[in-house]
Amino acid sequence: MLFQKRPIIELGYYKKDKGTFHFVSQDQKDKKYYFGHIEGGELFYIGKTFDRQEIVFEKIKKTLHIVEASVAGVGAIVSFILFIFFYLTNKQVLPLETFIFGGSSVPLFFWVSICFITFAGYITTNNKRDIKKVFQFSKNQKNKRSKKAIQAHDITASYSDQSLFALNQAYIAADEHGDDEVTVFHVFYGLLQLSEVQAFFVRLGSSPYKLKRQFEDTFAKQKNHSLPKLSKEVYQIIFQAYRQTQSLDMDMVRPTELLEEVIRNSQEIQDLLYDFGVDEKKLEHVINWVHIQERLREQYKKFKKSAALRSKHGMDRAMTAIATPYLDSFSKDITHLAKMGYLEPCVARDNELESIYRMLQSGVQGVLLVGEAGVGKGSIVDGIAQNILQNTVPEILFDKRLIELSVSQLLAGTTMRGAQERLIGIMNEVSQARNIVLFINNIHDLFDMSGSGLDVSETLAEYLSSGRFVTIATTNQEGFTRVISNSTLSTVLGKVDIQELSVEGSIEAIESKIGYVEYKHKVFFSFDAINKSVQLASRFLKDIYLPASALNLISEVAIYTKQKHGEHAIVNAEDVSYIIAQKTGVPITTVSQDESGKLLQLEQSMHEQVIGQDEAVSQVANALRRARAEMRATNKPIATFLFLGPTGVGKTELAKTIAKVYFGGEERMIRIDMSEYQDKGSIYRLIGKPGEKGTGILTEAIRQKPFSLILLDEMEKADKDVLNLFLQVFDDGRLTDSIGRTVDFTNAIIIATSNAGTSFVQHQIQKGVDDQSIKTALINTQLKQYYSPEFLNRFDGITLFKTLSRDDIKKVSKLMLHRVKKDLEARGVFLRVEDSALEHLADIGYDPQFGARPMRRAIQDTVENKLAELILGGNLKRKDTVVLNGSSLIVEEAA
Amino acid sequence: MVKYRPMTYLMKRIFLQSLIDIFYFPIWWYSKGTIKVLHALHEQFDHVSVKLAVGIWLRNLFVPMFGQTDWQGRLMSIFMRLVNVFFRSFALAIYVIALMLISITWVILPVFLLSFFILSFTS
Repeated sequence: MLFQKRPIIELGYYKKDKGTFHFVSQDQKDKKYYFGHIEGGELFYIGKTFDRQEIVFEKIKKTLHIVEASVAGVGAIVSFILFIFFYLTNKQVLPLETFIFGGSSVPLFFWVSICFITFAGYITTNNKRDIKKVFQFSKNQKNKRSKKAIQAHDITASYSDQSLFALNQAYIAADEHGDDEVTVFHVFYGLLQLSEVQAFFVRLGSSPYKLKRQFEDTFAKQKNHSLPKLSKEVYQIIFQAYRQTQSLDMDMVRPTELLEEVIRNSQEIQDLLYDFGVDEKKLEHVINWVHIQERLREQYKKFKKSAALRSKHGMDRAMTAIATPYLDSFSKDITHLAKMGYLEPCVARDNELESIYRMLQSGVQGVLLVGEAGVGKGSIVDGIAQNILQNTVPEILFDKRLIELSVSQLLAGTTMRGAQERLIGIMNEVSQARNIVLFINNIHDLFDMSGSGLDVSETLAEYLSSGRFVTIATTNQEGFTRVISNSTLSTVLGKVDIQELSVEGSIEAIESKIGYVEYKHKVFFSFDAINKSVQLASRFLKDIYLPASALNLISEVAIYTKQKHGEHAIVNAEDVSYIIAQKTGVPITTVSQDESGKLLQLEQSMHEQVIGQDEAVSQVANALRRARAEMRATNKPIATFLFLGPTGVGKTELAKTIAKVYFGGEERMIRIDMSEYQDKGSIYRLIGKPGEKGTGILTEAIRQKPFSLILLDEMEKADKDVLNLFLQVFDDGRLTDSIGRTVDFTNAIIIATSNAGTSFVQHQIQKGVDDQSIKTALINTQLKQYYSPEFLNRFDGITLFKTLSRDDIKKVSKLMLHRVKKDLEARGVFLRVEDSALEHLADIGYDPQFGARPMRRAIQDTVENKLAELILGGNLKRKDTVVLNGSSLIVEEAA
Repeated sequence: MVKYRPMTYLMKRIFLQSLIDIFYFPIWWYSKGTIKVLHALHEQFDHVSVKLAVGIWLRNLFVPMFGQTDWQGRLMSIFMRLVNVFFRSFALAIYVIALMLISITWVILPVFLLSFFILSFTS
């Protein structure tokens, strides 16, 4: 079973006897009996009968009531018109008594019209279905075990009109298709008729129409069947949906609850949905999304009611407050913004709100919300303002105005002394006003961070510590540690840490705000798109924290989807991946067939640039394939390699190739020469000088380009402490810079190169020892002189680059000449290289000790120098061909 | 054996339903209808009494308005608050009377209409 099934409810027939309900049997049907179950001393039963007659009759009854109300309405209008007509045409003025005691036919028409109006009102109100609230157990009542009940609750009376419509549709479907039983499939099919269920499947990312069609095909047409009855499973579903609504503390059974139970009770529907990409977790998330929206709608209704009582002019209801004109010119009233409906809802922050209220109730004069940008400090403050309006706050905040002091307005166009004077004026007003809760966003901006000695913080601290008003302030971790923790404010304000929302919390927050984005850009988001944007934002957009990073991404994706697919398009996960790939340059979209072919033959394409070194190439190719297929740990760098080997064997060339293949260009390679970090002090050049921003070469490079290849050249030359710094990077994918910021390395590939033990390797090769033995011996003996075992252990792969053979060198020369050929082609000259020339180059450019570097010099001396002379001498014309043959260079002139 | 005819059965039920709709009207008026009207009037009363906030004005009778804590301010404030309490209570009372009139009208309307029609047709 893919989905967790709910415990079965024991259903049976009950009869009423002397005011209590008793169990009769499980299958003894009688019209007088109640079919249901007893829980917590209450009987829950199905009051509605599902049969063809009843469904048809209900339909006709609805029409009948419309006709009756319309006739009454027309009657009222006609008799009123007649009354006006006779009243105006009557020559005598009618005395008032005739309206009470009669005596004239004219008032008769008036009262007849009144009769018709009241009848029309009666028909419409009496036949409007009153949905009974779902019964909620009192404390400890649910666990009460009893076989008798005094009260009975018709659960179908608590079903919404839409839910009952779906059940009726299920019955009709079973009846029309000739089935003897109404099964879960019919209920599912009935639910699919509802627009809200269709929207639900759109959110799930599957087409409701395709699902519907699939079901229609499975229903077999049968003739001569008896009237269908509800199956046992359907009864279970009806009761379980009610129980689920009870547990959710909701007022009526909506189609979402019914749908959830249908899916939980049917393995076949689960299998079908699984093919459409729906699993239990996804379903639960989308159900939660629907619940969030319903709750917000309810909250909004209540909010509107209480907001209407609020004064527009910032006065409390008892009129004890004092107007604050001076403060108003430097601030904005957040409670007023909330009243006008400009604030977005605050969700998944109940714990933080509770701790703020608790702190204020304990007597602290203010709270300081400490958290990084984007974690939702502003949203919490908005939540407080909305709670003030709804009167769901402690006494200290009751009927208060939450006023945000604008720091920019305070400091604009004035000197520090002027700002202090302004602040004193503001604070005096706030202290006297009695109904102000002061909110200062980014309070650290009021402190002098540059150290010039002038700041307004002392003035602020003086007033805040007076205890005459409540203050709410926000700051970030850096601001708190650098300025606030050392000031008097830290004793006045209670600290509340606002952590970054979890992925689950962020999904909820986005689900609550997605309506605004959807309305603004006229697109719809599937759950996959929201989930993906939160996942990718937490992985790739590290500058801002969740949920703000995901929200920004969502807006961008909405615009992109609208531009690409037009209005009313559905945003899916692939659109989110595309935007992230565009922003970061990291390939994360679904691997296309073309790309998967390329990935499977990565070794071949890498060998076009790197000659030999099969082991290194295949190790790297495997790592890249794992990364591309998202089969790697996301809390570590993409891959970490140590390339060992003598100079000129292709270590750097392979690193460049990786940067090109995975990140899309060689410019994505950050090259750090570790020979420059040979003393302990050089560590600060890598991570920055203490207290100074932006001075770390490594940390700044990766902060600016988190998606890069870091090449640590000549690693063995670095100091041991510098090497230890990388232990954390290789293990956790992060490093803390000199000012306490965490720099993320999880989207980087790190390659260290080292020449350590080269002479040992060459000596062993000369002795004819095989590669594997050389590598083992090298790691176990030679490398230990330079690296600690735990350092070596943290690499994903240590690769020994082999010395290039003569054949390899020939291939390298071919590659190098290819570049020369391209340069010449740009001048309109062709280059032809004969095999004898390659042989000649190999003769002079092959030195096993120095790898490919002598070949570069050889080409320079024998080819490039001569070509330069020819070009400068004007002996090369367009369309000429330069032929390299043996040691000679001939120019074949164009015909 | 009587043959079961669904259409006839349905027609009968519809006819019965329309009779119920007509004859249930006076019963509804004095049962569910009255409860509904009283409920709606009660809600209206709650809404207006919260809006007029006589209780808040009364509770803060000796609290100076607009933070005027000097004796002149306090005196003025008590006076203003008394005036407010008086007029707000008066408005509330008028509203209550109006609501009561509506409920009384509801109760006597059918009786009145019936007697009016009888009188009109008999005279």
